[in-house]
Amino acid sequence: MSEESDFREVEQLIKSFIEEARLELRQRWEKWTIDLSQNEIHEVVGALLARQLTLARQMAQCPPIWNGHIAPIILRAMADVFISLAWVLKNPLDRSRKFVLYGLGQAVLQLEHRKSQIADREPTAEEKMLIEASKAWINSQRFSFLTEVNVGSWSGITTRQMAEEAGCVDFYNYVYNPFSACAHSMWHHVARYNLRQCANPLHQYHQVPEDPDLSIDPHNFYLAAKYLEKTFHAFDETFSIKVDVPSAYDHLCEGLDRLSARNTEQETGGSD
Amino acid sequence: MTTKKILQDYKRQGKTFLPPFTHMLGPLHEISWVKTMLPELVWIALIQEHYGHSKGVSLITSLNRLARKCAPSEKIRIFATISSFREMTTDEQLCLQSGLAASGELFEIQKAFTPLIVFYPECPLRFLFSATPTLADANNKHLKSFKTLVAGLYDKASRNTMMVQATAVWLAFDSGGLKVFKGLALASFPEIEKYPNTKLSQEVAASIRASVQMFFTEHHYPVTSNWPRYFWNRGFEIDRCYFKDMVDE
Repeated sequence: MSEESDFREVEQLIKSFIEEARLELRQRWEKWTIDLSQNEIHEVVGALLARQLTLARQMAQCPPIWNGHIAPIILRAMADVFISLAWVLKNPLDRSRKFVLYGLGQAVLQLEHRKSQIADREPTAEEKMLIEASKAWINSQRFSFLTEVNVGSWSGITTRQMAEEAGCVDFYNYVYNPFSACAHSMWHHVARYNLRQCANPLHQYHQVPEDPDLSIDPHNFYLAAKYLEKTFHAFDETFSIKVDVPSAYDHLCEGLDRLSARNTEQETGGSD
Repeated sequence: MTTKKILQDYKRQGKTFLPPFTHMLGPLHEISWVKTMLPELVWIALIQEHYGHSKGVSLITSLNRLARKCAPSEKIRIFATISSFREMTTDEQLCLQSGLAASGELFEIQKAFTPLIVFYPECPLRFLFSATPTLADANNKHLKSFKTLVAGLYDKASRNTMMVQATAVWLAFDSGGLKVFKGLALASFPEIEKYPNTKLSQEVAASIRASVQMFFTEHHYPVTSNWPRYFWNRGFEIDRCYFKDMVDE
């Protein structure tokens, strides 16, 4: 990706990907028969699909974060969305409700924390407004005084168990789990990315902190697109939806292959 | 995709999986070769580097026999670690220094130890010098060769490092602190000379590496010793950090 033209082509790939991915979501929503008696399903599933698109789009739009420092945080969030959605899709009504109620409980908890923080003084106008808005948002869905606060996991089981039940434990093992190291800044991430070994034997070859610049790796963009595609596919399978717009993921793959082939050709001095 | 179960031979305890070794033998207290043993045995390496293995062993043996003579004790003492010399009283240390001077070996030993005492003035072997030694000219040259020596000691199984460990074990034999049954690999101790070229020498080396641990048990090693800690922290005072892509200034 050293050539100006390559950058322009990547820019074009990003633009097309976003347009096509948004079109895909829209068409899925249009083709999905809405049943308002089970609106929780549509809102939860729809929100998760849109969230996945948002994450993929944000990744696409920010090439400087296509590196081992930041990309895995986004990809881990995408893995979370996928596993949640895949688990919800196995029992959409019950699990969508669970998802909503847990979220409302968390919102109540946050509200109570905020209120307790300012309990011994008069809240400012801005704080008052924030509290009222938060209360109103909860009450518009369920009275806050009726809302249970669950401090466990929203599904009642671990993410691994959710993945097992949803038939995507490999995705958990090879995507969610490895990317968690970066998302939570665990030792096996920070030791590799934020330490540098000193070559002095008198210093016990200790490691010192550093903030290294990493090169941009389009593979991270590709992965985000792949997880979005995987999410769309899980939705399509469950609700028997068939979209007829072009696949943003397929187009991106073609574009990246084209770029890669051209670069290989240039490196090996192939014919022009 | 995945069918094979992982960690099958581990023992689950709540949310922790214990490896079979720990599960069956219980938790082990590790003595680190690099953190503790290397700084304790570096004096042997210095003498051997200076005089070669054969003369080195001879000097080290003399030093040890004299140390045992100057510091008689009911329990068998093996002066294999630098910290063990700190256990000597001032009179015992003076006795050792004058004994070595009388035998004509003090100067040779001092010569080998000079970088150690110059770079690490609080070294317990400092008592062998009446005055603080200096390194004539290029400090850098001495520091560089000391670094090379220490770097070589990280590899516990290299020939030079094996000879250091073998010498320490030899001191245990010589003091009567170590006896082995016939037929055990360690009974073929002299074979270590051929290391790593014969299978037997490799077996002897493995036994030596295991035996070196004994110098660091409570019976032989002053647990309060601060030498290893001083040694490593002093490294930061005498030299800076180096990184692979750093241009030498």
